[in-house]
Amino acid sequence: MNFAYTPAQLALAEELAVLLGRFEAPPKLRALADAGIAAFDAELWQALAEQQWLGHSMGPDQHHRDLGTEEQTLVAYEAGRALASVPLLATLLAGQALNTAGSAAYQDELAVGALRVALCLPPPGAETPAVAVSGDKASGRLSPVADGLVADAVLCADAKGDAWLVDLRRPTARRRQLATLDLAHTAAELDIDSALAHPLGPADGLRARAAILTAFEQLGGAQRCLDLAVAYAKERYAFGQPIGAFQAVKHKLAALHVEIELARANAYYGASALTDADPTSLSLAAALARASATDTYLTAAQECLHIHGGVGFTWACEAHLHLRRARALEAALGSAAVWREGLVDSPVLLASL
Amino acid sequence: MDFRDSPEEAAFRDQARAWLTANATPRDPAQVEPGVFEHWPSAEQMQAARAWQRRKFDAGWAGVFWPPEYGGRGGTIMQQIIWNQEERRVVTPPAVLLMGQGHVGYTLLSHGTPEQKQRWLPPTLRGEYAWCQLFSEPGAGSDFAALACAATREGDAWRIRGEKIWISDGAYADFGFLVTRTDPDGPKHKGLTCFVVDMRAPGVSVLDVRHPNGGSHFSHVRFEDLRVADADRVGAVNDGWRVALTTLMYERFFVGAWGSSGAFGGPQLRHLLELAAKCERNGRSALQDGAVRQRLAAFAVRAKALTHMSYRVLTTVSQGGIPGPEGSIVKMEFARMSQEMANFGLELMGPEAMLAGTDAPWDGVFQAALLENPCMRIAGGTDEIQRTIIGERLLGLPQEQPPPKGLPFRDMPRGGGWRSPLGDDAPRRSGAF
Ligand SMILES: Cc1cc2nc3c(=O)[nH]c(=O)nc-3n(C[C@H](O)[C@H](O)[C@H](O)COP(=O)(O)OP(=O)(O)OC[C@H]3O[C@@H](n4cnc5c(N)ncnc54)[C@H](O)[C@@H]3O)c2cc1C
Repeated sequence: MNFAYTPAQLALAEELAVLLGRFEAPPKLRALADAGIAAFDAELWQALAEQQWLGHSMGPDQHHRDLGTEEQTLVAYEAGRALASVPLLATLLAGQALNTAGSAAYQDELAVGALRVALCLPPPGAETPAVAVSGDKASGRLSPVADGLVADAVLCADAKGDAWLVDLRRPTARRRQLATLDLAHTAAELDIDSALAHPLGPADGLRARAAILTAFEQLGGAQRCLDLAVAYAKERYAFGQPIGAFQAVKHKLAALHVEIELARANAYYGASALTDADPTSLSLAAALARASATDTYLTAAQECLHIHGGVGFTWACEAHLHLRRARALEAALGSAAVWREGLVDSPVLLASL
Repeated sequence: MDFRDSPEEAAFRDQARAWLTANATPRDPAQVEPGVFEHWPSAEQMQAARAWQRRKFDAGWAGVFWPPEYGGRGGTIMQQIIWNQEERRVVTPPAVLLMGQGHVGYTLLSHGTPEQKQRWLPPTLRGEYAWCQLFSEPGAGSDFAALACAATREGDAWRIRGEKIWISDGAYADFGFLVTRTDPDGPKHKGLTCFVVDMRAPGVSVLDVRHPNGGSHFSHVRFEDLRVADADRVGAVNDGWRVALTTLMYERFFVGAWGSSGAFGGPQLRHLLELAAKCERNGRSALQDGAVRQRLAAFAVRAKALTHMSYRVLTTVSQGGIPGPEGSIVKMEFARMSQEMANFGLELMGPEAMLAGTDAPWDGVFQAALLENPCMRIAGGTDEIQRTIIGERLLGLPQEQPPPKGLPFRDMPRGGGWRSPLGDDAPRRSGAF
């Protein structure tokens, strides 16, 4: 029984947390939004590339950190906690998917941050958004695409359920910026016309992987919301004592902690299913991780805002940034309900009861 | 990230399974277990339980993590849990001897003198002693340090007067682990002392207390001038709070560890799914109804989360640690989920939900659960107490302490709210609207 990260992995996460912390996303995101500039932290992206967080395991002679699946889950978690305004997850996913598909394409570009990837897969049970692929050329309109404004490639699917990495530079896709709820990531409509496409295999497996990594990002965001709320509950006084002493507040925070820990437990199961590369448990694990984390992040953001009282209902408070992000992450890959839908028919679930 | 056994754990599991397979029949895992609160065990069941315990003892499987000098196997707590998981896979007599080998036994192991351990522990492992835990009182439950049952010193003995309530296993326990008040003049937590008492001694009376389902599995225990030798005192005089905390910690821990056996929600959920397949909603099988599917799926997400949570708790154990308050998450949330699952099953049943026993679907297990499940949210610390512990011990939130009435305003702790975040604040408006 070893259902936990190793100390070395946690140290790695801490290293990334320090890096992300230096780039202090929340004030920057508000300033960008005030100025009407679409969010993308180019300096952070550069730093991530320089410190080798983007590259993929391609053998020991390559100068990359060997980010295995568990390390990637930690990266996702830290990115969520920091509201990192970079297309980190999709870029890691693309590298992994190319690797799995046996393609050496793009790996160098990915590693140096020269290929920023957006993710646009249809939720389970849906057929759109999708591109049409003929030979190695993809065409179609994808919308909305998170990070689509800054991406060099998009990880998407066709109507048959196959996944593709579509190069948005060959030829240049037309992009239209869309106003976004999420202030940490841009959104765009992409018009793709005969763009170079690399096959990545069935979209299902990739969607499951994306859902599990995103679950960690959602959890990171939820944990940040809890931490903010707990800190505020210790320093804000009312009726002569810190508000965190009042049971109504204390129990709310305890209940949120419980939700986060349970969601974390399901996310760990997702991570273990990914490392097992066991396709039978993967779809169950993805649904469990995704459903728990999606609900939890939303609750956490809303409770965090509420515990801050009037302060919570301000532009200056970090809570709304998470509220926005929680909704955007939910929208991108499908709601908790969508992921729960097939669960009761899952033979893997029934066998595990 | 691996919830499977390590090679050593797997080897131990194989050994345990081999012995159990040779000595017992496999249990149908789909079977929802009968409630423990129906009736006290019969004399035959008690006998069978003691005999099964003795067989395990003779084969070296009793007290897996207890030291060999007290009859145990000298293994790790993880091995104890693996054994418990494996034992659940076979049919056994009712688990009436659990407390002695669980949290009460462990308290004695931690705080008893060598002589006391020699006296009480080996017979417990042999199945000769059933135990109960005598903590709660009519006037002290959640706030159990407020207990009043009095022990007064008389030479080398103590005289006990008072009462205890909600005592599980009370009717058949041979011995009880008792917390008393020895110094009513001292602070609440400093005047408690623990004893082991003979439940059949003169001065002890044990009365049944009936549950909502009409059955009985806990007792009201009264002590009227019970004499207890000082040699039966566990821990120092007035140090009983520390001793009792060990009991509570292990109680929480053993409950938290169960989940890994799949006991947390698995069988109930399977029943609920089978039930939904047979019930009708909007003219079709309820299992095809979108709203029902969502409810069931949400239970599945929760039940699996609890199982995975218990893997996390067990990882702590596997690495030699003892889980803290996070162990109570599993017990608290399992209790709430079970209650909701029973409610939903009854809702699905329609009119038949009003029936009970063998006239009801599935022999009335959902009706039985309705009346039995509420106890889990109370026993071992209520939901509210668990949340307070999580808030204070894990999140570091302060205890509630209203300022004294009449405190001068200038001394009143205040503030900590809105700080005008210069630069981060809204830009100042120039010009008129
Ligand atoms: C099935 C079962 C078996 C048991 N077995 C044993 C046993 O073997 N030995 C033993 O000693 N005891 C046993 N108990 C007793 C159990 O530990 C207590 O019932 C429990 O701790 C609650 O105490 P109480 O019943 O006095 O309720 P109270 O403490 O009176 O609580 C009543 C209500 O008030 C709430 N409350 C109390 N204090 C607070 C607070 N500070 N903040 C918010 N809410 C609060 C509670 O959560 C609860 O909802 C058992 C109980 C049950 C139900």
